[in-house]
Amino acid sequence: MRVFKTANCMGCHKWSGIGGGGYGGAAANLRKTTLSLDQIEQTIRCGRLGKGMPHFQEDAYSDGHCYGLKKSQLSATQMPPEPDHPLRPADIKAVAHYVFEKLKGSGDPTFAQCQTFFGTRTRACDVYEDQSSGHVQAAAAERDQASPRQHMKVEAASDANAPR
Amino acid sequence: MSKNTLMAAFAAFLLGTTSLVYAADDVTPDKLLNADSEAGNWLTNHKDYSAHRFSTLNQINKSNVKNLHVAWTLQLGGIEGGGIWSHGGLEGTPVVQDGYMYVTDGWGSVYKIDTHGGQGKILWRMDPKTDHDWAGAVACCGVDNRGVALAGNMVISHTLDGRLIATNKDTGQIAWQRQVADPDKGEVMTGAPLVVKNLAISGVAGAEYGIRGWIAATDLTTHKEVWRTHTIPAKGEPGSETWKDNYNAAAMGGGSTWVTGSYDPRTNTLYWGVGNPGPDWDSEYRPGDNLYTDSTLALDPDTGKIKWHYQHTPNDPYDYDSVAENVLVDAPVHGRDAHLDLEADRNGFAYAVDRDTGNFIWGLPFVKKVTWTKGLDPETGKPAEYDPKKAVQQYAVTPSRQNTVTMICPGNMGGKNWPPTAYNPILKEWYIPVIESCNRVTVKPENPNKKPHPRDLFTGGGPDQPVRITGSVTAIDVTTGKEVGKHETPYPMLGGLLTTPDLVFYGQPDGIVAALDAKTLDQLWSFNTGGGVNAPPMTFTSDGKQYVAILVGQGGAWDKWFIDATPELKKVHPSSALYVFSLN
Repeated sequence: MRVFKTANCMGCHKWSGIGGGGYGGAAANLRKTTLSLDQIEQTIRCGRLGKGMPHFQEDAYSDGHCYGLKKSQLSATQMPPEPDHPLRPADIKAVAHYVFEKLKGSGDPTFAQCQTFFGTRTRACDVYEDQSSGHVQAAAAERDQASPRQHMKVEAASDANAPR
Repeated sequence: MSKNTLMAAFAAFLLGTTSLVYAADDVTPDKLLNADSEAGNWLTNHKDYSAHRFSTLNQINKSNVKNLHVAWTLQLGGIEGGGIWSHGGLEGTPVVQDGYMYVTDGWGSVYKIDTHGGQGKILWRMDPKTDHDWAGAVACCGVDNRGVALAGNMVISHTLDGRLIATNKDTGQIAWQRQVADPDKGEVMTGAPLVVKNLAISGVAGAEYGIRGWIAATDLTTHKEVWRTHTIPAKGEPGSETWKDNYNAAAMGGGSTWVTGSYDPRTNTLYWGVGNPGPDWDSEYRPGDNLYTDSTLALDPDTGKIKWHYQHTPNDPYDYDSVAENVLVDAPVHGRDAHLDLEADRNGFAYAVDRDTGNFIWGLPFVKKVTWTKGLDPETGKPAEYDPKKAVQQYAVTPSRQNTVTMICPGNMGGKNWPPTAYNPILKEWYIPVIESCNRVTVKPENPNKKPHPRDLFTGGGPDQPVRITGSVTAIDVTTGKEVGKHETPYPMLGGLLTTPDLVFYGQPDGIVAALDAKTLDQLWSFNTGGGVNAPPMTFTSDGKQYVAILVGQGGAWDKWFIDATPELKKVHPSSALYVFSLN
């Protein structure tokens, strides 16, 4: 999970791995992936040809070990993007294991999984649970105690342009 | 004065809060009305209520600007990531009063800096403890904050997680705060507040997350909201007939307001730009003109009532926000005196409308390449292909469910994004920081029967960057509405402009800060800061000496979503610094 966060996988695949369309392009749903552990690791190392997934191994296209291709054989549109920060081999293995073991086949994201990811000192997970349920309220109470920012509600005036 | 306001004033007096009882260095409503006459100060985001970003200071001028050099620098914070963002950035305009500077970082920390004695010293930092994960995950386009407003003895600022905060100018302690926007619904705040009279006026971001936009005014004495004007009308309100679907698309209709507005005291009118409709690229989802998206609004600042609107891109399928600042200029047009409202739109056209009536006066493309329309109707300023009888507009090039992959020029970042223009009233020239661009849009229709979860992106497709993007500083003579100069730059203008009597300053995302001759646009000076510049330059005096200041720290969405169009910028790393320049 550490690498999943620091390599900014969540920037496209979201914290839960569900990916999806949007401003940054459409990222694969890792929870529904059919790839094997080896295939996942290869995708992280080599990226995806002609897609937005970067190659996280720095020299992925130096000697043909990725898809049998070298940089000189790839057009600008086929070449996977460079990563913001390349990953060490051990980190690539670690994040591949995380995707394979924690995300693949894990159904819809849950409140508990979200809290495992973000911790309890943020409201990032509230949307995954019924607001009235006990553990959401408990999390809110813990957060309000811990945070210097008091729980605040929007108190809005009515729409100035509504017909009177 | 009504009985209630009298009571409030009396209560404030008794409590010793100085909101209505001003000390000598307090920023009073009068001071803000006359901000343009305080040459050495920069009291409000756009320098003055007219948003000219023009300073009369001329110690630094055409003849000596070549000698400009770094006077001092400061490293700031707020670089950490959160949500989907790997780092924060700096997009703010420093505000300066009597040699004390107030700046923000991307997470909304406010810094007070003493600039006296030829150096910068941080006196305090107010860290609002913004929730990085919660807010960062719904900030459409980066971890950004564009600066503060001054009011009385308070520094007024926003946080990404939707708060309006008043900080004591002397102590750096939070005096009060209130939640204005709700990130649970995808609402965040990135713009600087605008203080008019005793109100702090706030805009919201989130049109990529299915919000229904608004502008809201908070009373600085009572800390209560006085009015909130939604930029998308509710059912039955005027303008609601421009949402012709039967599944309430307007409820998630977008219309963000994340760039600080301007104000004309002569007519007591507030001017504010409104962003794109949502979903961005699936215009068939929301048949109709989609008011008041992509419009300029003129409002009564006391009540929030809309006086008039002018829409630039009806039923927008491009993400061509009209969030841009409105620049208020009095100048003759073809010999006749006019009260102009100038706006440089993301759709690539610059507009002048009569700011008292909203009537179109002139318009022209300020980018080198426009493909989405053949041009503007010379009478109305509407796109030539616009047909008010059509529910879904077909312009010259229209991303649509039938035509799912299209190249559009300007690209969806716009011919100009939020970075502010500058107006030189001596030369009557208006300078626009331009993104010379095309990009490719792929439409993925949204399904009204399967609306997204709160805080999910709601865009109806997405852009990518197959071609290089460059930039320019483009000058327009406001008396004719004609382009009179273009200084081309290798990178897009992502920071905005400052003008002085004979110079124009700008910064580039590769780290260059430069000065141009205001008449010829020839480059007279440049300096490489070594970071990415994503913020507007400003100028001030301290101990009687003129300085130019600019924040350095690439933020925004460029490095995540647009970087393929400027591959060299991949080498620019996150930073968070303040650069201040002077002569000798």
